[in-house]
Amino acid sequence: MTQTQTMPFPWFGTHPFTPDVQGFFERLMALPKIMEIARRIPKGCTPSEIVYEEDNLRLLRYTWGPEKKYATPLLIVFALVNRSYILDLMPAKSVVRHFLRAGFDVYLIDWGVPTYGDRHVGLERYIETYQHNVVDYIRERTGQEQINLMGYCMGGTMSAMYAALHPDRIKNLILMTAPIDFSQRESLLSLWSDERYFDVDSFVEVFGNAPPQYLQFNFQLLKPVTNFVEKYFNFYEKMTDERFLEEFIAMEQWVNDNIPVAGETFRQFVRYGFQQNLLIKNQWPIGRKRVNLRNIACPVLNLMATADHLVPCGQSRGFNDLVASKDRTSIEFPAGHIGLAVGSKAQAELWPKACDWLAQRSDPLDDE
Amino acid sequence: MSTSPNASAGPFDPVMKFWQDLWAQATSAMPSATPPPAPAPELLAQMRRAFFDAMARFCDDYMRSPQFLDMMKQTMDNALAFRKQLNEFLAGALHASQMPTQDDTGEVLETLHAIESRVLQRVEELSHRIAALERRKSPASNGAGRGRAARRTARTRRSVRAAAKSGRAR
Repeated sequence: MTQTQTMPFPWFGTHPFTPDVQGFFERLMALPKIMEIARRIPKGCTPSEIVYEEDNLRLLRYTWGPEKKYATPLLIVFALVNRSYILDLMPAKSVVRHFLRAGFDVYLIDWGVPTYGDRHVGLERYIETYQHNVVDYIRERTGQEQINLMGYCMGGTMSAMYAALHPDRIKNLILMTAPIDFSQRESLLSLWSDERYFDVDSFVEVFGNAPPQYLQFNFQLLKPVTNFVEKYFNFYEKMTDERFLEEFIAMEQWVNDNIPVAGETFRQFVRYGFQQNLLIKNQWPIGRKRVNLRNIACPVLNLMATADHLVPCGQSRGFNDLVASKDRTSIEFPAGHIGLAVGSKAQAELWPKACDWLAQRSDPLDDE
Repeated sequence: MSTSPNASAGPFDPVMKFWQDLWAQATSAMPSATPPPAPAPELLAQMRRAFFDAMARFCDDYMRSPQFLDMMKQTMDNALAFRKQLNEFLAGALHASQMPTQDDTGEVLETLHAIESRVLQRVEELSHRIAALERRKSPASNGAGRGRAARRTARTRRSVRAAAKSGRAR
C-alpha cells in the first residue's frame, strides 16, 4: 500500500531553491584544492631583488622582463595602509609587469610594518627622509638626475607631495586614485572621519598606531553587502572553478594582509586631509615646509576609477588644475579602487595606455 | 512602565522600516496557494542581484544617517575609554612587577631616533663644509662638487642608518 505524503511546503522538491545536494558535495570535495591553491599563491609574482633598506622600508627592483629601453627609472609608491604587492598580484594582473614589458627599470617601495615604537613617525619622515633617500639612491644607481614617480591611493598623495617639495627630481608623475581634494563628501570615509564624529587625537593617544583590524573593518564596512555577504555567495557558487579560486584567494590574501599605520602619520592624514583639507589650499605642513602643488611642473597623468568607493573621482579630479604643469592628462576609467590595478579591463586597456604615455615622456636608453 | 509612541527615532528605526517595507512587498507579491513555475537560474541571479543592490543602497543611506554617525561616535568613545582604562591597568601591573611597558621601550626608541637625527644633521653639516672646501680648491667644478656632496650625504645617511639598524638587530 502506498501512502501519499503531502509536503508541508509545496514548493520544496521542484523549486530551484531546493538545496543542491550534489553541488554541495562537489564543493566539499574542492576544499583540499582550495588549501593547496592558498599555499602556492605567492605575495607578488615577479622576481625582484632588495636593493635598498632603511628601518622598515625595503626597495624592490624588478629583475624580470625584456631589455630596458628607457633610462629614466620608475619608482612606484604604495599606500601605508596595505601591502604593495597588489600591484604585482598575479602574472595576468600585474601593473609592474606592464611597465617591465614596456622596457622600464621598475622600483617599488615596500614600507614594511611599523612597530609600536614608530607611532611618532609622521609624514615628514616618510616623505622627506625615506622617500627622499630612495629617490636619491635610484638617481645615484642609475645615474639619472630625474626619475618617474607613480603613487597609488595614499601613496599617490605622498608622491604628489614629494613632487611638489622636490620638483627638480621628478620627470613624470602618475597618480592612481590619489585623494587630493578631501572636501568631497561622496565617500563614506570622508564622512566618518569628520571631526564631529571622529576624535583622531584620542584615537592615536590610546592605540599608538592605527590598528590594522580597525582599518580593515572600516574599509569593508564601506561596502558591507559586497564584502560581508555577496562575496561569499559568489565564492560558494564558483568554488569548483580553479581559475576563479586562484584570483579569489590571491585577492583575499592581500585584503587580509593589513598593516598598522604609524600613529602620527594617521593623525596627520586625517587631520590635515579629511578634516582640514590643507593640500588643495597649498598649506599641508611637512616639517617646516608647506606643500605647494603649484611647484609641480612635470607632465602629470591622473588615473581615476569611476566606481571607486574609497577615493571617488571628485577627490582626485581637481589635481590637474592645481599644478603648474602644461602637460596634464586625466583618465577616468570604469573600475573600482582595486579594480583599477587588478581588473581585467584595466589590465587590457588602461595600463598599455599608461605605459605609452610614460614611454613618450621618458629618456630612451643610449646604445653604447 | 509604558513606552511613548512619540519617542524620538532610535538608531535601528531605519533598519526596521527597511525590513517592514521589504516584507510588505514580498508578501503582497506572493501567490496565495499554488506554487509558481520554477524560475530560470538567470532570473534567480537577477533577483539576487536586485536584492543585494537594494540592500547596498539601503546600507549606504543608513551609514550616512545622523543616527548611525552618532552611534558610531558613541561606540568609538566607549571603546577608547575602555582601552584607555585597560592600558592604564596593564601599565600599572607591569610597573608594579618592575617590567617595562610599551611606552618605556617607545621612549628608548625615540631617544635613539633623536640621537640619530642629531648625528645625521652633523654629518650633513660636515658634508656641506667639505663641499665648500672642494669648491674653494677647484672653482671650475662647482656644480659637480655640490652633487658629490649631496650624494655623499645620502650615502652617509644610509650607512649610519644601516649601522643603527644592525645595532638594533644585535
